[in-house]
Amino acid sequence: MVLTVLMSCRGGPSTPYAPVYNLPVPSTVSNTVPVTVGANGIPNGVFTSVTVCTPAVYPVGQDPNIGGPPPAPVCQTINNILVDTASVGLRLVDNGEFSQVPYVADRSNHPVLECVQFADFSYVWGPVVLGSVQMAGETAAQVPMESVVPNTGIPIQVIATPYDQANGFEGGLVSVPAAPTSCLSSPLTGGLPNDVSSLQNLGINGILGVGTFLQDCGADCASSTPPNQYFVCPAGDCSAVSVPQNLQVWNPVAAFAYDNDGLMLSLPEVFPLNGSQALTGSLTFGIDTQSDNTLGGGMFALDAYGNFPQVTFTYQQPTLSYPTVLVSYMSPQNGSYIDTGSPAIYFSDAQTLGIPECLSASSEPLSFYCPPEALSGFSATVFGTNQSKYTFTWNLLNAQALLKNGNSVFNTLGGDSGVDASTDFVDLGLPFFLGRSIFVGFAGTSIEYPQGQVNTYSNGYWAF
Amino acid sequence: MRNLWSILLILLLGTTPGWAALGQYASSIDLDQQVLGGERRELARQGYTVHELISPHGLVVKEFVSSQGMVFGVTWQAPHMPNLQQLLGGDNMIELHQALSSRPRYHSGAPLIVRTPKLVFVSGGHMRSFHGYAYVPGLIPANFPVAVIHDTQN
Repeated sequence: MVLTVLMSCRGGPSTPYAPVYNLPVPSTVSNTVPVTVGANGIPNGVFTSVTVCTPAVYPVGQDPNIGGPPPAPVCQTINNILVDTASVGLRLVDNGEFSQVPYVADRSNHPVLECVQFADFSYVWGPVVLGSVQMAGETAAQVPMESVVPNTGIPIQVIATPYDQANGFEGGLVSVPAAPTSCLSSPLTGGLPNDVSSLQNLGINGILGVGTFLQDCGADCASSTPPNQYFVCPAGDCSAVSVPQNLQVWNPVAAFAYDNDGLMLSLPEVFPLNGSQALTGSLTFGIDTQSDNTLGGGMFALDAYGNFPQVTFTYQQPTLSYPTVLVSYMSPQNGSYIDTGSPAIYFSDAQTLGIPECLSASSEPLSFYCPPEALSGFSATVFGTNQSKYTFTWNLLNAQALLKNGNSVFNTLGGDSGVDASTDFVDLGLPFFLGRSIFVGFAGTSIEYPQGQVNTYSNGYWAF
Repeated sequence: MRNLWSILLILLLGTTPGWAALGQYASSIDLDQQVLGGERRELARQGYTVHELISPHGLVVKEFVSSQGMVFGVTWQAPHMPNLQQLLGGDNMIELHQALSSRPRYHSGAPLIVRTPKLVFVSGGHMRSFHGYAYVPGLIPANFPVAVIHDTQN
């Protein structure tokens, strides 16, 4: 059998070629950081710290020491960063400490700003800047693509505050108009809260998106007809702009020099049904790159949407010998996934299950379940595109009672995913991660699985 | 025969702006296709028609049209959140805003579900794979199985 060997720079996984056995290089770099769960008054929130620095090499025209060597990198360590396995990219609320950080710009030197809206209508808006990212002994000093100049940093989003909108970011260097209505699927008028104020109110300083993809958008945003995600706003008038992948907001872990093929999140078990106080766990970088990140458990290759291709949900009450609900959800219309950014397991719906939802003070249903007593018998069988499967079971307690009982980490928190069997799906939020080491394998990486076989997983994988 | 009806509706109602939004007549679906610039196909079902539009950016929209020509349901699936102002129309967006204004808000990966007598709305998913569903309860044709609106076999 003839193998085609291609010369490639380390980590060109976003270029379409056929990598052969580009297995991760073993390292002895310190690759683990602690994470907290349920701290900061945010139930089931996973938090860590990140150190960001100005890059050692500045883009042409943005070197603050014009004519001289660039300044030595200036670093800051920011804590209370939410760890989010379902988004991609580092996004930091402007804390006023960013100084002389270079911004991504188009050919006319217009700064690039990004608008990303999430399914719950929360959104982030702000400039894309370049900086290096350090966690433990790992550093992301530049984007791992061919012809990228070393030490130019990776693209990071700064989430603009109302102060930035009034005065410009970085002392007016980058003006920040209102988020364009062409991006938001719901207009700003009508008073939907801007994500930055809700993040600030909660004391969340940023979001570390470490999902399976390498950039937050990909080929779409680099095309000649880009979607409304990256913008330039000359004279306050924003229009969508095409941004090549090396300048899109990048998965920081995928840009580390070592241990960059994925990560492992290990959280302790919570035994009591009514939860526990805040805990600590660990986030380890790399998969099969060191003795501390050996791939374990079943491995689930993902589809092109970053979902399980199929999840089958069953509800069988312990007193019955048959399930009352048995339904399969297919990606992408009912795409199911794991997500540390979701505080609960979201599954099925109140009507299908016959379980009441919580009511707010004004008797409006909130999308958590509020059964009068503890319930069990819920299970989800998840499938990979590689025919792996795994069945996860969980219990449910009254969400309102849990959220008032003084604890902050719960494995019995559940909520609706839709309104009926054909709109439902399964979002395996934080409760799924408790008591497990869960691996997130990045798109385009190769790994030995099953034993004796090395395969490349173009859409990445999860393992648990 | 159905194409003839679409054409007649277009001629009768004249030009209409923008999208065939939820709760409005379906006569502007041709304009939707021009706006999206993608492929379109019509799937006839018993008592209703599904108009599927696929944009080059991977946005897949299905508009469910009654035999009277009204869009009573819409689903979407896309790598980015679609422009719901266009899909749902102004009145439905106001309904959505009013329902959301009283809810506590902070960023989470949770799906968004709104149910009022005038609008049922579900939005879920993550970066690179969002999916959602909206319908106007009062416009659903009689004997229409609501579950079909998200029928992946369509």
